Amino acid sequence: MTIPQLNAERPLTDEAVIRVTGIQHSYHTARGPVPALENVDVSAGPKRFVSIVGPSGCGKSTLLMILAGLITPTAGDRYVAGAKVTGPQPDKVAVAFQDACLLPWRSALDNVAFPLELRKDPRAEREARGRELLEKVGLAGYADRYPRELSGGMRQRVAVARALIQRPAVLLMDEPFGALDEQTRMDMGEELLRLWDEIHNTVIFVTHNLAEAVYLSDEVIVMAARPGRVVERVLIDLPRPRPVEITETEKFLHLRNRLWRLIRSQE
Amino acid sequence: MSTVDEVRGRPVADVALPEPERDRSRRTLLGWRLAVVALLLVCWELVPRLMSAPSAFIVPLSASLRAGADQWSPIVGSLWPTLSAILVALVFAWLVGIVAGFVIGTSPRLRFLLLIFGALYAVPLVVVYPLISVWLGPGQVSKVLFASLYGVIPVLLTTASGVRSVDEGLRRSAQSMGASPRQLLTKVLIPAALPVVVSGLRLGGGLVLIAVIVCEMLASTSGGIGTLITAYRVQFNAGAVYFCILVVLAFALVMDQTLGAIERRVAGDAAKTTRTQPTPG
Amino acid sequence: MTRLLHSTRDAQLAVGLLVVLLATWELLARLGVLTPETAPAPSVIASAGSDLVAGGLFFDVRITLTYVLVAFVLALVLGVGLGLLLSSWPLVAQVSVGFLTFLLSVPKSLFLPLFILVIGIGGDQKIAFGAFSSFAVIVMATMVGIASVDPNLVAMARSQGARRREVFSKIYLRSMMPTLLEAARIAMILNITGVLIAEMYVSRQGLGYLVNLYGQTFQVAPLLAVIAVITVIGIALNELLRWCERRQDRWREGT
Repeated sequence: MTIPQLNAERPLTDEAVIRVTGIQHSYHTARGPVPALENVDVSAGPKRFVSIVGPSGCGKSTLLMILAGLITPTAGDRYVAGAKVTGPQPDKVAVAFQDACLLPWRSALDNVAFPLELRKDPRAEREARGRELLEKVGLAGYADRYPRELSGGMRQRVAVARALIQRPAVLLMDEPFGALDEQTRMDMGEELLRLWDEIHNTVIFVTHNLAEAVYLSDEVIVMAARPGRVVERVLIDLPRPRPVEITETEKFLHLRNRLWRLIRSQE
Repeated sequence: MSTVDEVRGRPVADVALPEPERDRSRRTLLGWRLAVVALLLVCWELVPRLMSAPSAFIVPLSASLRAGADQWSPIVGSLWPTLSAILVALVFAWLVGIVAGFVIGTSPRLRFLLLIFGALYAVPLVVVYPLISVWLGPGQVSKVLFASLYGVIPVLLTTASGVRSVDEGLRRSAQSMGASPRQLLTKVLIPAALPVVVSGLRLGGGLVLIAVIVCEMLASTSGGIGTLITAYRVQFNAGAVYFCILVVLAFALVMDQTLGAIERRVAGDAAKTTRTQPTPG
Repeated sequence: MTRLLHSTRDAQLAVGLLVVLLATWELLARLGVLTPETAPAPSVIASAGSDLVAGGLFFDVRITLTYVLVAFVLALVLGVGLGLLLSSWPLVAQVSVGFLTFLLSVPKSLFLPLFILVIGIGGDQKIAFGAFSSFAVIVMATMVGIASVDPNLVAMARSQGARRREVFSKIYLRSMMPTLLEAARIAMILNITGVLIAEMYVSRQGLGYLVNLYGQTFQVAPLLAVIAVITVIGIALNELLRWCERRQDRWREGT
C-alpha cells in the first residue's frame, strides 16, 4: 500500500489558517542557551485535524505555545488567517491545556464562560452560551460544580467547552487527555471527533499517543528531539466518520506502525 | 515544563536549584542583605544630619553609639535580668509545652483542649501581665511566668499537631512488630514528630523574648533592658534608646539564627526554612 | 461528616470544662479559700463589669476598636502594596524576605519608644504602632501568595485575551485570596496586641489604658472584667475573619 506523503519543505499555501515559519527557539539556563526548536515550519489548512507527535523533549508543547502566541520564539514568524501576529488571538485561536487549567474557585459554568467574561459579553448571554456548551460536552447537570468535585475526564470536558465557546477558527490542544486513564482517553477521543464534526474548525493536537493521533487526525506531524525539529508529515487517509472499530483495521495499524518506526529511527 | 518560563510568576524562595548554584545564590543573597543593612546604617547617619531634627527625637548613628558608650555600665548591668528571665522562661515554656503537647496529642479524650488553646491564640495575652504582676509583684518571677505562658502555647500546639500527624501506618507497623508503649514513644513518635516540634520551639523562643521585653517596658520596676529603654525615653535620651534597641535586635538575631540552625539540622535540608507562623507582640 | 461531629463534641467538652472551672472558682471564693482582693469570685467580676459598663466602658471599647480597625485597614493596604512592589523583581524579593522574616520574630514593642519620639502619644501613634505590628505578616503573605500563583492559569487567561489588569484581578488576586485572608486574620490579632501594648505603655483612654490603670491600683475585679471583654473581642474578631475565610474557601478541599 502506498501512503501519500507531504513534503515538509513544500511551499505553504495562503490557504493555511495558521502557520509558523522558520521557528528557532532556545531556553536560557545557567549553562547558556539550550536549543529547543530548530527551523520548524508548521501549518494547518481550514477544517484540518493535525496532530503533532514525538518523543518527550522534542519541543512539541513549546511549539504549541508558540502557535498560541504565548511564547515568543527566538526567531520565526507566526501567521493567523494570513496576517502576521505576535500575541494571543482569542477571537481566532483557542487553547486547551494539558492539565485542564480550570480556575478552582469558579463553578464549571463560570469556567466555561470565562472567555466571554473577558470579552465583556452581557451576563445573560454568557450563561446561556455556557450552558449550551456544557450540554454539548455532556455535562449539562454539572454547571454549579467546582473543579475539585469533577473527575479528571469531566474537568477536561469543561476545558474543551471553554475553548469552544470562543468559536475559534483554530483549536490548539496540548495533550489534553494525557492525564486520563486509557478507557476515558478513548471515550474522550471519540467524543472530540463527534464535536469536531459539528464545529469543523482547524485543530492542532499535541499528543504522545500514536494511536490517538492516527484515530483523530487528517495528518500527523512527526517531530524529533535534540534539537526539536519536524521529521515528516504523514497523511492519514482513513475515511470519516471513524467508528472506534477502525482502530482494529489493517490500515490503521499500518499507519500507527509507520509513525512508530519514524520516531524510533530518530533515537 | 519549560513552557511556563515566560509566563511564570516570580519565585520568592530559591527552590529547585542544583546544589552549587544554590550555594552561590545564597552567598550573593547574603551579600545583598549586608549591602542593604549598610545602606540603612548610612541613611541613619545622614538623614538626621540633613534634616537637622531635634536631638531629643532622631539622632544619627554615631550619636547613638556615643550615647551607648556613655551609658555602658547601666546597659551591661541590665542585660543579666533580661537574659536570665529569657533562659528560665524558655526552659519552662519548652518543657511544659512539649510534655503537655505530647499528652494532649496522643490522647483522643483530651483533644478538645486543643480547641481552648487554639482560641487562646486569638486573645491578646499582653493584658494578663498586669494581673500577674498584681499577684506576684513586678519582679523576675512574674516576668518569667508571663513569658513562659506566652511561649508555651505555640510549643504545645505544634507538638500536639506534630504527634497527631505521625502516620497511623507507621504507628501500626511498629506495634505489629511488637513495640512496647515506651519503644513506640522513643523510637517512633518522638523521632517522627521531631521536625514539627522543633519548629514550635523556635516559635515559642521568639515569643518568650517578645514577652520578656514587653514586661520590662511596661513595668518600670521590673528591671532589665526593656525598663532601661523606657527610662531613657522618659529622659528624652533618644541616642541611648536607639542603642538599646540595637542591642536587643542583635540578640534577637543571634537567638533566631541559632534556633533556626537547630531547626534546619533536625528537620534536614528537605524541610522548608521559611516561617509562615508569625509571632504576636 | 464524622469530623464535624467530632468538632462539635470537642466544642461541647471545651465549653463544659470552662463552666466547671468557673463554678469551682466561684465556690472556692465563696468558701473563703481564695482571698477576694487577689482572686474575686466570677460573680464579683461580673458585677464589677456591669459597674464599668455603667461608668462608660463602651467609650474605651469604641476607641480601642477604632484604632484596631484603622490600623488593620492601613496595614492591609500598605502591606499588600509593598508586597506587590517587592515581588516585581526576583532579587529584591529574595533579599527582602530575609528582613521580613527577621522582623516577624523581633519584639515589635522595642520600637514603641521610637513611635512615641517621632509621632507623639496621641491616637495617631496607637494606630501607627498597631499597623506596624502586623505589617510584615501581610507583606510576607502577599509575596508568598504571588509566588504560589499557578503559571499555567496565567497562560490560560492570556490565551483567552486577558489583559494585564484582568490577569491581575481575575487570576493573581483570586489565587492569593486564601493566603491573604489567613494573613488578615493573623494580622488582626497582631493589630489588637499592638494597639493594646501602645495603650498600656502611654495613654489616657482605651482598653489598654484601663488594664494598666486597674493593674497599677490593684483593682483586680475590674481588671479581670476588662480582660474578659478584651478576650471576647479578640475571639469574636478572629471568628469573624475565620468565617470569611471559610466562606470564600468553599471551592477548596478539606476545609
